[in-house]
Amino acid sequence: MLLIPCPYCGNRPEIEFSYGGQAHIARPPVPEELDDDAWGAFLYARDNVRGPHRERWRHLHGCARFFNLVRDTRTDRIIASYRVGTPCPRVEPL
Amino acid sequence: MTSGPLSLETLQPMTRHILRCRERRVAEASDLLGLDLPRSAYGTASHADRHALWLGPDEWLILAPEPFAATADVWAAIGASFVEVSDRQVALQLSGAGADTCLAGGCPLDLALPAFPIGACARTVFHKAEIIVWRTGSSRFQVEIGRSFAPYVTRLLSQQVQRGRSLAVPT
Ligand SMILES: [Zn+2]
Repeated sequence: MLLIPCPYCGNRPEIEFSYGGQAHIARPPVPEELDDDAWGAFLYARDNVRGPHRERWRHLHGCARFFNLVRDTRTDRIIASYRVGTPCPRVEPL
Repeated sequence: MTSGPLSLETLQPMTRHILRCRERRVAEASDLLGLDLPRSAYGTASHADRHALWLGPDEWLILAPEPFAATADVWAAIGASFVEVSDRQVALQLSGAGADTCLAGGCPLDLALPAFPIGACARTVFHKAEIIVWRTGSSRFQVEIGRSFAPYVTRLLSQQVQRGRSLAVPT
């Protein structure tokens, strides 16, 4: 089981968390102005990173907060954990 | 340390409220409750028989034996919500030698005393149910369970207790 560092609670077992997909995807301010391709890209296109991936998690069965993680998708190693609304810490390319 | 035989009991009904309050109003909310709301994970605070358990950075479970007076307007004035959830949950008390091991049979938290000292509290899981676990003594835990999950948690915990008793080393 992974231990996930919640920015509010510290290290907690993975089964308390739910995954929320790639982080830092801004919703288009005026969706009706987008054409179908752009809207489709917003809804479905993701980076599918091999390496450090910035992603949203929710500490569902804990403090219930959303937060962001940087996780290496090759190793599951967690590189950084930070609160929503704070910038992503600089991550060295591995 | 004497801790008595392992036992599991259902606690008497009590008054429960969920407080949601922004960080900058925590001091005012503390005044209304008559205790210092804990501000970090695992934190609890007690005054007389009223208890505040930290659930999240803007969420607390307030426990008291009797209903108490502060009205909705008082809370609205500081932008907080204070909702009675007394009957949403039931509480079990697990106590005695090996209580931590029993709970650890279904709870992934580190329940060793240094990591989870007396007074610590966390919302977590027990097998497939969400619980709030609060350590009220070195080998005594209060476990708050959503009412509909109570039979599930109670059955699993009492199995652990029976197993724990049969394994207990006579002292
Ligand atoms: Zn948390």
